[in-house]
Amino acid sequence: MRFAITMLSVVAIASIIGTVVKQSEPYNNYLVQFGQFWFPIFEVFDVYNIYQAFWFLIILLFLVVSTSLCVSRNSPKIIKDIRRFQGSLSHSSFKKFKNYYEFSSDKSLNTLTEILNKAGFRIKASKDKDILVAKKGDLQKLGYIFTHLAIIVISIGGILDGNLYFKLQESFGFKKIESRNLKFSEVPAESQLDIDNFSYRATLLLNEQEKNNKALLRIKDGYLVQHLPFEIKLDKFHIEHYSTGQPKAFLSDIKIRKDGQEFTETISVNKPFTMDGITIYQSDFQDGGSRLDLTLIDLFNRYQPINLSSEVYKQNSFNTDQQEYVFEFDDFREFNIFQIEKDGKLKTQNIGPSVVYKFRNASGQAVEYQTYQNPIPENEKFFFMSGVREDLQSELKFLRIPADSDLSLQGYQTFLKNIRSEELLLKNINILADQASSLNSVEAKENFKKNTQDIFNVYLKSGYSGLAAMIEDTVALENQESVADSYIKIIYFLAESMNQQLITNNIIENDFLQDALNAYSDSFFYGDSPFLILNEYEKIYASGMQLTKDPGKIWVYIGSLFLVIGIFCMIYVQEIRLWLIKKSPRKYAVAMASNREHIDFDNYCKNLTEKFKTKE
Amino acid sequence: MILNILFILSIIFSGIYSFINFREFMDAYEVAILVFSVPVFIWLGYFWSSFRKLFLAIFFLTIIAVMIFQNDLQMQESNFFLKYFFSSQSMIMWMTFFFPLSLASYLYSSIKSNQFSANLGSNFSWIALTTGFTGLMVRWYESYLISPDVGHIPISNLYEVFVLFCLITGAMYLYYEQKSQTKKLGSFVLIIINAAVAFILWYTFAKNADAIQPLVPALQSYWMKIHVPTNFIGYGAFSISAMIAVAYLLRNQSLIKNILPSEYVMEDLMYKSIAIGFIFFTIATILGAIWAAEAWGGYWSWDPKETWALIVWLNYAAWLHLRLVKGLRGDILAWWSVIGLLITTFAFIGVNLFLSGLHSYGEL
Repeated sequence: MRFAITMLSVVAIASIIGTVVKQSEPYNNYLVQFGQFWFPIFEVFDVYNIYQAFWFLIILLFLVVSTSLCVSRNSPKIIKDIRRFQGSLSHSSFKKFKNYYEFSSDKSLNTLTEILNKAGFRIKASKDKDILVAKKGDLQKLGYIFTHLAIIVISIGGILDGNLYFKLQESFGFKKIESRNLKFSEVPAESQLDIDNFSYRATLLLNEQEKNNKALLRIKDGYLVQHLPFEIKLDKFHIEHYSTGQPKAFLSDIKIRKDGQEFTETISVNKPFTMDGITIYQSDFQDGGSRLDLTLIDLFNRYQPINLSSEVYKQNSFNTDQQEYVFEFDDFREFNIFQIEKDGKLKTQNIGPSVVYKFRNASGQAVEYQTYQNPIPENEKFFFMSGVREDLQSELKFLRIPADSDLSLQGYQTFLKNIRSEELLLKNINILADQASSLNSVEAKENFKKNTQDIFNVYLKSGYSGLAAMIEDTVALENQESVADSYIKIIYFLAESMNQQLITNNIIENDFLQDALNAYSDSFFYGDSPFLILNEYEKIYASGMQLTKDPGKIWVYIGSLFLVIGIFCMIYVQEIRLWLIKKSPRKYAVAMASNREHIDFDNYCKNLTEKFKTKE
Repeated sequence: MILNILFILSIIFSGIYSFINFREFMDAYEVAILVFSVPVFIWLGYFWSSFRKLFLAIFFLTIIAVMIFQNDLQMQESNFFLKYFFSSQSMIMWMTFFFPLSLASYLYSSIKSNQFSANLGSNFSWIALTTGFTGLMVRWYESYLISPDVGHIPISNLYEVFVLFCLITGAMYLYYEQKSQTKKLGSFVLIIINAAVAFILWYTFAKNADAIQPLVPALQSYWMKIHVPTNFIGYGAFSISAMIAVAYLLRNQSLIKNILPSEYVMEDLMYKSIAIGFIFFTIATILGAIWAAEAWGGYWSWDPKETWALIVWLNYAAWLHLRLVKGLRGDILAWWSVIGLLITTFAFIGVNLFLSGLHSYGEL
């Protein structure tokens, strides 16, 4: 018993560890998390798949065996106890009972017997006619057997559905977990499980219009291939949305083909489909290689826009004068649900598609980008947004390019061309210098022109942060703020006059220039990637399905039913033993005992005695 | 007598009305749940007479709310009665007003041994139950006003289940209060209810969590209607037993010795609430497993919530084992029950806060 409790505690602690350490992640994540030293130590104890660990299963098995022993040892005793009536105790011995009453009644022993019968007692007729032995509530004791048997049945069901069988096959060398990245057809036979495998939870990822009759079984840091008795084809995957844009349903239209017969089904979350003991669930979805049609715009206007047709998961490359760039699309999301402020209230809204891609710079380092197709509303204005991050742990930093009056990027592109035109710059600096009345001499004017051009060029070369660095280096501390202020004004003034045409044609409005200048300045943290404009797309989904074969389930359910019945019996059935003695023609004594005596029991005894007493 | 007839009629009316008018929103299982709940509610009223009054109060208040709404959600902004009394949000706010008042009355009655104040304490709790349950009923209705496809039973996120927790714990406490004929434990049990109330207020005002959100696909199942309430009867019962255990452990402190019921009564209530909690928790976990088998493809995935449910279950199984089989009584079990509440609280909220898994609907 003590050992069993220790083992149970070990199971509890191991379970807790399993909830704290995220289970079944790629092993690389654990290596990062725990470091070189702890990673292999934890691996030995199977901490990463603790619930499937051999030692964990052995302890569970031990608990089942020990519970079985417990039941088999105690059951005969309990059954004997149920069948047996505790013999006639001597009057003096049950006088000591807490619930002992003496009373006088007109009723005969027969009438009292009837009352007891009605109250659910079983009565043993005694040879000695003045003593009556009765009892009720034997179910309480059966409750013990029920609950313990239930735990055994549930465990057996669980073991049937666990992968103990595979573990045995693995430890004898018949089967081996595959960890290389192979096509299903190239996986060696020792890593394949045939149709007869009696329980599994496998996954199957299909692109739309794709089909397969093999599924993937992830184990530890590798996998096995599970053969299915039928072939599944994914016709189409849909997402249904609420009017607010949040997803309402994920559905897969599938065709199941077996022995020349074909069944068409739609599965969705909470609505799986079962065939041949295998239940098919909607569990996951991702992009299945959507087709994208894009235009690439350099944020510094160094090369002409490039048109590109591509697909998700496909590698792309393009050349500019200096070098070749490589990037690949990781994901295309057709719907993005954002909380957007509208009239002072937050509203959930779908803001349309986005692409996620990794862009490799010259040194080969991959930087992740996420670019939204449509301009995103923000305080009455609209911005084209693209986020960037160098590692997956950090947050996306967003580049926000203001949209023009037609909600297009055209305004910003013209703005870029204008501010980077040296001719326009010189022309507008001249105008600025002519307007400044304080510049009396020619020399002062030339000086002013040169300084102004320098300032603007620093901005063009490295944005506001370049200007800040320049100010820090050259200006005394107490003047820095006012100088920075005047520099910003100069840049804004020049940008405004260089883009006069945009303003007069109403192509841009409001704070566009301010936002555009900020966006240009932010382009320097954005990295080498051009800005992607998504012109058109064709969304193709891949649906992740889970295939479960669990013959143990029914046993788990049956066991659970018994468990509930058993607990109910143990807690709510009151076991009572009762002795009734006729002391003289009208005088009786009654004693009642139970293995559980509490307030309710005492009340029950009192009430029963009252019933014996009362006249009809 | 009139009350009884009214009670039964109102239940049957609710059942038939729902069946006729909302048939199209229910699948076969939900119809079964509806049909089944009619006798269950009648039985509850038979079993506990005060439930009849509670039910009737909720019934009529809800009808009034629905009538004022006139199928227009905007009414809650413009209509005075909806804005301050009958909209679900204000009803729930009234609940958060009356539970603290109830605790204050119980505390005052404990300190001054004032019976009037103790009665006031239970009455405030009854009002809190009435407003809270009405709030949930109206919220259920409001969710359908947002859009028929958004409509769902309001036990789907952390905000809603916290309200449910307060109500179930309150109702169970009031039942035991009548049964054991002592109001002396109110000062203890109402503490945990008010802790939940404090959380609701913080969650409402700091996080705006009171907005009705549509259901994620994983929660769109009739199982939610039975799994969640069953679970919360378990949580509520365990909380009550832990608070009684605290009272039990303090019974020898000279300061509060006289304000507690007898040791025997406390011990008995502690056992009874763990017993009922254990049965419901067992059923809830089993129902959860069956739902998981339907939604996630496996009845047991060692998801953090499942695993912690197992630990909670083992904990109380051990508690009952010690008491029923080994005959243990007294301080050890009381301490155990307090620690049990810590484990339960972690399973209820801690898992959502600190661990990620399949049960991630209740994130803060």
